[in-house]
Amino acid sequence: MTTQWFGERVERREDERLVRGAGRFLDDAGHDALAAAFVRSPYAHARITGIDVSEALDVEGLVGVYTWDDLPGRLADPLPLLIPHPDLTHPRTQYALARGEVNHVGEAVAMVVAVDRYVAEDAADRVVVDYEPLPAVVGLDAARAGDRLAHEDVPGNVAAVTTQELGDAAAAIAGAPHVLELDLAMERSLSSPLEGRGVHARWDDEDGRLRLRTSTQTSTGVRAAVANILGLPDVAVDVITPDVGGGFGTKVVHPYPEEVLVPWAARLLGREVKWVEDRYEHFVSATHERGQQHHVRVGFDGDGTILGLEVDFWHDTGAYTPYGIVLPIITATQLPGPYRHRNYRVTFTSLYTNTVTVTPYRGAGRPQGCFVMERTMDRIAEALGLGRDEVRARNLIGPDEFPYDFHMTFQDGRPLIYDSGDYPELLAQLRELVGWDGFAAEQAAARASGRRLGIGLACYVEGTGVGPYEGAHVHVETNGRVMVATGLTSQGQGHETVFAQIVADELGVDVVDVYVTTGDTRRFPYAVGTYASRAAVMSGNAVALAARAVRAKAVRIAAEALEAAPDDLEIAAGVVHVRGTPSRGIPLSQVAVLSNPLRYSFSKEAQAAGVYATPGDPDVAPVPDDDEPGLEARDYYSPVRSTFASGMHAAVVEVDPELGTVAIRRYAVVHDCGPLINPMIVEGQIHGGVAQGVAGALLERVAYDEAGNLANASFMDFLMPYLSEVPTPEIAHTETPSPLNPLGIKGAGEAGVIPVSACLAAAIEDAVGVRMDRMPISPPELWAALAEREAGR
Amino acid sequence: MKLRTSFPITAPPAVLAALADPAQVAAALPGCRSVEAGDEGRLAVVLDLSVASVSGLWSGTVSPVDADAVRVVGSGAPGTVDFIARAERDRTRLTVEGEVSGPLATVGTKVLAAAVRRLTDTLLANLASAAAPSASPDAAARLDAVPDAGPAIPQRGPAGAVAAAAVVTGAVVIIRWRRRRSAR
Repeated sequence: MTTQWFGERVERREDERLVRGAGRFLDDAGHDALAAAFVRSPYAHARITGIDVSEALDVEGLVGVYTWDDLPGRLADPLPLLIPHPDLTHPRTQYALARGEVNHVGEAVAMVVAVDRYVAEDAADRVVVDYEPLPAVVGLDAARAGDRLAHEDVPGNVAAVTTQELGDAAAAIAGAPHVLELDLAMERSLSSPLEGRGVHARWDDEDGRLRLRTSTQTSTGVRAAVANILGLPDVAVDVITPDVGGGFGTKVVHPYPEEVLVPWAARLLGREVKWVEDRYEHFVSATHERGQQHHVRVGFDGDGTILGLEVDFWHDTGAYTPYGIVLPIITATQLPGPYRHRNYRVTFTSLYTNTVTVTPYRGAGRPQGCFVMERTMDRIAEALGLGRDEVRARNLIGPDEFPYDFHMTFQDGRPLIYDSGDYPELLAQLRELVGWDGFAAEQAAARASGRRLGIGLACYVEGTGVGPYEGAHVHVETNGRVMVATGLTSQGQGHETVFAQIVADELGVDVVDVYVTTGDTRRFPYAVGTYASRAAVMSGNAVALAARAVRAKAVRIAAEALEAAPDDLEIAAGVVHVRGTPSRGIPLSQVAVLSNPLRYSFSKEAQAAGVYATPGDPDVAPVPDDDEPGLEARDYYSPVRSTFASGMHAAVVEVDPELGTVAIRRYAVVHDCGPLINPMIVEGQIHGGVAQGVAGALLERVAYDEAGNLANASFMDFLMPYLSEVPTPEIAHTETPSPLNPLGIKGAGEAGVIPVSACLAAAIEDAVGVRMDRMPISPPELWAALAEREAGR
Repeated sequence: MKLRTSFPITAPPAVLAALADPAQVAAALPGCRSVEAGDEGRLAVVLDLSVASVSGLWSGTVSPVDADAVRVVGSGAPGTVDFIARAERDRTRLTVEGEVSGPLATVGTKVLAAAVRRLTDTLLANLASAAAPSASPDAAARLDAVPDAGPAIPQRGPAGAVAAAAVVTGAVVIIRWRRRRSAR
């Protein structure tokens, strides 16, 4: 009997060490390393007129202070433009250390290396930088006004302008019986993983090798960039991602300045060097997201069917554009959601500001797009006096309309074509799960007793599993262990568990015998990274394909040994045996021995592969031309385009009009990411995503003052949600397989966060009747909105 | 690593005069073990040298280039240096330019430059305070005596005196004096 691991709630393999405190995070390595600290700009925009380190000389234990002048070769160039785009007409990337000008508070100006972090910080405090302040551009209003420039050579602060159009939206709106215009905005936030960034580098002078540990979402990306910038052969650079305490997007940016400066210093000094980001540094130097303003024009008919949609939006890209214009492209292309659009035009302008650079944060442009589309749906319903669910239902793409081609280009440069889904089913599921139909009575009863309840819903489609590819190596060792390596990284998602489940099924072994390594370029050097809800889809399919190749080889070798036809064999409990005859079998460990003809038998078991043990065909080489020694295989998965997951959220909230507070009474999630590899892990992703979404809707925001100082750069002032603010979502799944990959799966990493702001805005609006056009909303803001409405009456 | 730095110097006549005396210089130069006069105006200097975490014994020579400049070449545990120190702008400014390698080349250009300036300032200040008690009308006379005072002074008059300043500051520009630990 074979055990099926795919689909089981297998306990996470990594949790045993993580909950015992036995995880190995970046700061657990390099105890004896020298420490780096950074002198960072206190100005949002300024010229550097001088740097004086003389006071730092008195700090005992100082090793060195480095500025841009010290940087050799390509290290002195601007850092890479990771994702160029033809419409990105004014790309700007930062220097590893500021070259004469700083463009946001927190930009690195000098690196101090000392015997430990205390000394390094003391010395950094004594580095005196003379600045000549320049006018700062802070916030989208200032950026759009264009009378101040974030970069003096970028007219109007405009990095890029892009338009995509399906049909003729303007004409469709002109001919529509009903037209609405809306202005909708979302503010800036940031990933704030509990573990910040960190880099630990060791240069081995005897081997001429660099070993770099970094808390990243892409070890292969860091490796390519570091090797290139430091002028080292790729093969001389090993990048290892240790346990990572969250990334949420910000750690996919690479190389951060510290990721090239620390290894450079390690090589220069011949000593291990480590830098661990502190919380303030994370706020002012790790990337942010979400700040966008949108103007919507929508034309629709009397039953709520959308006839034309035009969206113009302005994206705050911060000081630099290392990630190109991927974020606004995602907003533009994911905004349509699960709805049928025949006429849609979207134009975005990506604008520089003198604030921290903006790159994807979990959800990555989708929360904004979803907010725009879903608020628009609610306004259409209101205008027509129809149910919000009803208007959505009229516009949903039907289950028989896939593949659904938007004739647009998605963020991966591939066509925007939805592969599969069943949106009406999701809506039906959601209405039942949250009790949509019975809510009106509940609301009325509550109101009668003075309580303000409201309900909202929001729907989304999420492109997941973007290419270009991932790969995997699966190796059955002679001890029976199955060693799996894939190049993408883990930040707590449970990859060690789900990839083991997939391999266990393919090879017919117990999941505990499968050991997964991620993000170590020594084990697997070709990879892209963990972002865009892609790991399960990309590496999941790659490990499945590699495991299938191993299985085929195991069966072939076992068939010879058992003198049976390969087709008659199956693998169960780690033994290859003749189907129906479990006694006639050979363990995979022994197949592994036989796969590698030996001159020297290293163990009793290995004697089976000795030169006198297997005489074989005298005319066939021990390892034939078309074969390789070892029970192992490598394979890659590369999709033609993304697969599109979907979901819908509904929330019941209670607003206290006296305090402006919002309590979430119920939170319902229906979700379709195709077949679930591990339902517990998917639900964990949803729980975490909803928590982050609630935070983004009600608590978190990045508060810059007019001069570009980050006024809430600590967990004292930047409000993370407590358990008391986070609802426990009720979850239901639909499983619509993707036709695009062997496992039929879709991604789930970002799903939970995407519709939360839209959903809560709708629920709050339903509870108290004030327009929710921008998120997040704080109690004082909601209270003020309620007071304003009262005053207006 | 390239080293280039330039900073103002203050060397009153009494100090310039003191620069003519290897013994006085040795006493005022932080970390100095010896300063010996050699041929053709050359000085041989041995120092305990320390910049940031780089430290060790260093020895080198200081040779006149012209009236206002010297070349400093030397090596030791802290590293190798080869640069020219030049007095400029009526001898109110010293510019140092050259190559540094070894551990000294790992501390960062700004640290090196700051150490150069720190040491020059300290040396000149030490010489000034040593000269202060005897600051008297005959200081000018002592200055006049400089041209004949020793091999470190290649030219006559104030120019020669400033060259002497450059010689000595040049000899120590990469040095940051640190008190030797009293106990081991």
